[in-house]
Amino acid sequence: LNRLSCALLALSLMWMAPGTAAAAPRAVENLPVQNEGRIKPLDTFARVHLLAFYGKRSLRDVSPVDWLLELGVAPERAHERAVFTLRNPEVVEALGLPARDRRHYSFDEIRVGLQEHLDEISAIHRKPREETTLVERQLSEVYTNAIRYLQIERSWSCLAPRFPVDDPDLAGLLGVEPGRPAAYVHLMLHLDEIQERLTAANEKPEEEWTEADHEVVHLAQEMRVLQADSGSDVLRVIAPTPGGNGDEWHAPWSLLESPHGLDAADREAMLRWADLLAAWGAGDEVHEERVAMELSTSMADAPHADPRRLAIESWYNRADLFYKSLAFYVLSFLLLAFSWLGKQRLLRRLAFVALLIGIVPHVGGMVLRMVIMGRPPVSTLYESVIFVGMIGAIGGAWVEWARRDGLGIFLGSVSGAVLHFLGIGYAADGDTLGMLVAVLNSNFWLATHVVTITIGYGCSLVAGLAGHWYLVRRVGWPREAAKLDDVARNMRGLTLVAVFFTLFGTILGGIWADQSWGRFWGWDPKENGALLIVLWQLLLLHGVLTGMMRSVTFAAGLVFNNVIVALAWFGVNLLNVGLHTYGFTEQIAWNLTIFCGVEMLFVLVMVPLAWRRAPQGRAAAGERR
Amino acid sequence: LTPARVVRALASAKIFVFCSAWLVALVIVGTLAQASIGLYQAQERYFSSWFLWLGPVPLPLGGRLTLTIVFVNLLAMFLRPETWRLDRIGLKVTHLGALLLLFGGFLTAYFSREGNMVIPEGETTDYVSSYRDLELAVIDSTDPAFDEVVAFPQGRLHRGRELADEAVPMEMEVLAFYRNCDTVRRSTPPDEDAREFARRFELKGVPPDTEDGNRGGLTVRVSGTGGDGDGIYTIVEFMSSPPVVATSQGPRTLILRRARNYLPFALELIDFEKQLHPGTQMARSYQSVVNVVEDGTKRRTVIRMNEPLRHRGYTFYQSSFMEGGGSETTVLAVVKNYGRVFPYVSSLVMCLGLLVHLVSMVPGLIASPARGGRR
Repeated sequence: LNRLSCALLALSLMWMAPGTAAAAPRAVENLPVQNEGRIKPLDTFARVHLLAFYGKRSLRDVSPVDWLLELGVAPERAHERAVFTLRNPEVVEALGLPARDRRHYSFDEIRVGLQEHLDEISAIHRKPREETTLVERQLSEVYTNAIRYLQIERSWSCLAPRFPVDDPDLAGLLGVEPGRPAAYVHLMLHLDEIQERLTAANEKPEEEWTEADHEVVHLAQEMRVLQADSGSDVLRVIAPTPGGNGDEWHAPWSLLESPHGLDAADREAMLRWADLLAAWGAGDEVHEERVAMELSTSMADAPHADPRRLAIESWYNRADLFYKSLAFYVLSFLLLAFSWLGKQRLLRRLAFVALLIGIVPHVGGMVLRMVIMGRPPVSTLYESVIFVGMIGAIGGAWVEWARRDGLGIFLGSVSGAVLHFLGIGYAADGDTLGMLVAVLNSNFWLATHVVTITIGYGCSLVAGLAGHWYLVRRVGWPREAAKLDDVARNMRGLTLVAVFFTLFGTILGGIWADQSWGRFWGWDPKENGALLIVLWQLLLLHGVLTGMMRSVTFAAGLVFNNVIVALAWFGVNLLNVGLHTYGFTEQIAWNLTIFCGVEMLFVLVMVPLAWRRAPQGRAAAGERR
Repeated sequence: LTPARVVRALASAKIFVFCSAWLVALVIVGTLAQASIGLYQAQERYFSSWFLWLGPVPLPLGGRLTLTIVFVNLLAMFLRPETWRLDRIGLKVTHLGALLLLFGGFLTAYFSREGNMVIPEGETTDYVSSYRDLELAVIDSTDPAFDEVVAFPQGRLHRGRELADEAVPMEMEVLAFYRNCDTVRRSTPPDEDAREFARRFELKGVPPDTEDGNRGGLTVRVSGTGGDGDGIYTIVEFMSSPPVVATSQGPRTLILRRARNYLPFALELIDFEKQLHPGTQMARSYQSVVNVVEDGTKRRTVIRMNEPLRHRGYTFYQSSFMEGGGSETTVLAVVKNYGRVFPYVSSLVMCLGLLVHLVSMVPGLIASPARGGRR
């Protein structure tokens, strides 16, 4: 058996290390870009945009960063790549596009569709949002995405090798090899010399022009065309001057257009970027890597642009740790389910090992996120979901360690997997490593409050699952009274642990509020939600203590506790009052309703059934008391 | 019916079960109600109340009464020495913590003072404005060096009340007072005594706003001015030109405003700074650089989000700001709370108690009987 577990462990670790199949990590992926208020690696930037356009963080045949670079260097090729996913067939129809199974479309296709329906789209933008239909909102989203796509492309355009220069003299002036293309930035840095040559050419009649003259005139025309892109400032890849004021990074175009001109550092960075794009365009991987390393070193001193941190973030992006953790939780649950059919001990042990393996990337991912953002593990709703799942899985493993009968595996794998699924839904919103509004800025009490209360949520869910387990056993196997009694004890133990964390989480929340805005308690909906959980659990514990509740009622109360936790956690955002409402989508409201409905239905069906089946056997006397 | 029996009955955990069930219901209703009536009113109606008022009928057990019962319940538990057992010491300590928490809650509910302080850049303020309560201020500006103010608190602004003070050379009778009102153009001819604003407009009471968008309004009959100031005046909050009453001792301005509580010191706002996350419109931090002005000396300090200023029992928090006209104005929340320390102490006490209890109880409740679990 141990050999089997070890084999499973080794195999899974191999699978978990990212980049074994794909190419080795490249320095260009870790280059810093400022976006949505923070410095992130280019890899994250590319993935967040792919997520918005394509619906996934990566493409099948090209890495995210290569897609991003291709958009700058070879836009014609990029435009043919199917990177837009239209989820709704009605949108496909509205844009007059051909029906396709996966509904992936290229920019060229989307552009044609959008151009033919511009009037419609501007009509949608004029309407108030409440009056728009789903299709209209999605249509306008496609439009916004297409604009964003173009902005990214145009943000690159002054760095991309677009102007072939054959005249060796001119090439020498610009610092590119003859026959190789130069970028707009090269031309801009030698604008005076080009201007001179242009004037000289214009003074001659056209028939006397040399090849070089023709080239200069042509270049000048092309430059004028490209100038139209100058407002595009999406890619802020140039670090602010050290010692200068402000921590805002610059987009290449805005530096070129700046009235102050370029300083030496900006100039160097721009030329390196142009060099990098040229190397990428020529397929010269060695040169690309070298230039990327130089760029990375040159910007290492800028605030928040530590290359190691950026590299960690790219690794975190590639590793997909939470998906892997989810896979093991699901595997663990399946193994447990099969163990009930036969081969009990062996399969159950394997299920336990799978649960433990699933916890490793789960904790690892959480720790990496803390390292990347330099903040406590839970600051956003997404992080709370992942964290609660982790607590559930660890709690389940602890119960299993103490009992070795499958209950813990059930608790851990189900709570871990369900919350991972929920987290994946949240992650679809965009960059999960987002910045925070001022009131949530890191603070000792806030950090301890959020961590404690989310641990409390996790324990509550585990206790709630134990309640499910009890009701199912009671209805299905009423004869095993001793085992039932056992689960009833477990429920009380888990509830005690849960109340410990929810109680302190709630009080710590009050203390944070007292520290931050001067009042301990304000009956704000989020506070009330937490209080409700605490009150409910205290009610259950005292109900059992006084004998007013029996195990079935207690178990039903725990199941219902899940509903209260879910409402306090997510439902508060529905109310739209108070300080705590950050971010909500219609999808969540729907899921929440379903979840609460299913749990209530479970209670309504199972409790009468359980009451009809009194437990039998030795421990039954205690139960009837 | 012996005292011991009474205590025993009062200490029953069943009381807590009923109370907590009732609190669950109150919290649910009180939270949902916030969507329609706003946080402040829901708080007043469900949580800070002794009774739930159904129209004029008081129903038992508002939030405050329920918590009082829980407090008595807990207190009674400590009066039963026979329940003190060493193996349950953790639970006893936890309940002691809960008792402290509730006691602190009462102190805060009855003795804490809160309000806000609004300071434009470069200016000095020495008073705290109440969040909700109004006052009628009668201002004598005859001396150019300072204003002499007599203020009548909101508690006295009831229909039919006479407002008089030795320092005010007139009497006023409240004809109408609304905490929130609309001003509408008169549809009927005005009373012949009506003056200025009251000639053209009348007040119409409206229900309180769910946010804090209330505008108070007051109509008074002024008499005994000795000049020609007698008549009916209407005053509303945020009035750009408040009525001035001519009296034998000079003009008096009537202003309806947030009640002010003067501090023994003042704050001068040197600079308000707002930072955004770079490249976005998302706030990263706010801070106010202020001077504490006291006895002629100034002390410079900075009030930031999560880093309040504490001075003489008052705590100043960075709460909000206003921008416009090229200058900035900071809004500080000001709190004086005697019960402040209780949550800190009680959470520590409860934490210790519950930890002791958990360590002694939980392993036995989780492990299977075969592995040393309790039967």
